[in-house]
Amino acid sequence: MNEDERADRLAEALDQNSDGLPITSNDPLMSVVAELAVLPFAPSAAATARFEAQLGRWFALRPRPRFPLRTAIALASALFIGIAIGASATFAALRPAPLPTMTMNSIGTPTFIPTNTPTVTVMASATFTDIRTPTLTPTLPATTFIIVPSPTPVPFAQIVIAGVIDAIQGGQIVVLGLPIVIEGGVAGLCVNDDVRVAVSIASDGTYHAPRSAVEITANACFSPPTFAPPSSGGSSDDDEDGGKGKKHDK
Amino acid sequence: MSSAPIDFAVLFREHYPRVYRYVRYRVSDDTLAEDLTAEAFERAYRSRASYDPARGAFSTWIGRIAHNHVSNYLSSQGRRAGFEVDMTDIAQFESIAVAEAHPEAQIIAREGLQRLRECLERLTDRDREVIALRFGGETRNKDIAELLGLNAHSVSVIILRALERLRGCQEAA
Repeated sequence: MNEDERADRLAEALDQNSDGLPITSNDPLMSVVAELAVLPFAPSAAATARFEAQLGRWFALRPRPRFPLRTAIALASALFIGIAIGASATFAALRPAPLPTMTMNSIGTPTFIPTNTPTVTVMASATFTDIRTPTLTPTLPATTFIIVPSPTPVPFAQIVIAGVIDAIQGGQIVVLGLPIVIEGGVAGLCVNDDVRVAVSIASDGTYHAPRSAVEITANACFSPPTFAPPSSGGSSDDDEDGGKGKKHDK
Repeated sequence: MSSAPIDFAVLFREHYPRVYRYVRYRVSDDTLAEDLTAEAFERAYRSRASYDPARGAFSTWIGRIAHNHVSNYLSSQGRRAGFEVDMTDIAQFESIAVAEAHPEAQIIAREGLQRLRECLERLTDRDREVIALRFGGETRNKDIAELLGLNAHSVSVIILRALERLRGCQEAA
């Protein structure tokens, strides 16, 4: 067997080996082939891991595009423009009204911001003043009084005292135990009158009120006449105690 | 090109050990072989659009890329890579190869593999290249011939003579 023939037969044996078929060659060089086959030339685990990571970067995270990049960009741009035009036309046809954004801007600015401050201020003053005079007083019991501070600074405090006149002493009345000097006189006032007085407290601690500040809510000066049943013993017209016997100190 | 999409990730993963083995046959350093293998696949990835299954198998295509890359590297080095034998490296792969053998066989196999590796280092560039393609890259003779610009019979003769040199080297040692 010459060298060429031997080389060809050896090549056939190697191809059989590559195909997984049993080797029929008895060439002594097959022992060298067997040793070459067991040389442990394999990549390390670290190299394999690096290779796998590289594959991940190449293919898993950046999948291969089916179209060239320029074609893909052009198609995407055309698609986006088409959708935008279509959407605009549809929107304009269905909703001719102004854009909601513009409306919100025009309303939001004047309404929200400027109203905040004046609303708070005005409400505070108005509520304060209204409460002072007519609203709360009639509902209060007769034995209470309200302190109504003035909305503007004053040199003395002002209160409203509501109750029964306990006594009238000169130019002052006593209500709830508090002597109140009535400026302008106590004409028209009677003991047991239910009054409501807007009283000023002077810096020396005394209580003052003009006559006009005294409101009589229940007048005790003119009590309805009492009709006593006729007695069997005679007329009672001259009876000194026929009335109620209310005393007037004035 | 075929209309079916090519799963290069699968192909790369499938052929990585074989390409490394081929590169390792041609150079004597594990780390260098790993680097050259990774670089070869980097080239393959960049030029994957040029792969046409109708023109040849993927193994041939990636084998050519690896072959050219290693050849360029060796040419740039101006010498045969790994001519110097690293005894530590030899001991490492020998221990792996004979791990499951009997003690007597381990000694014989270890000595035989050591000699074989030393003899591989002494082959000519052409012989080592062909042996690497045939036994490392598992490339058939006709594909080796196409890759190297030879005819298949010439490749068979080169392999025959290279194996004889290896056997003679082992017997001389």
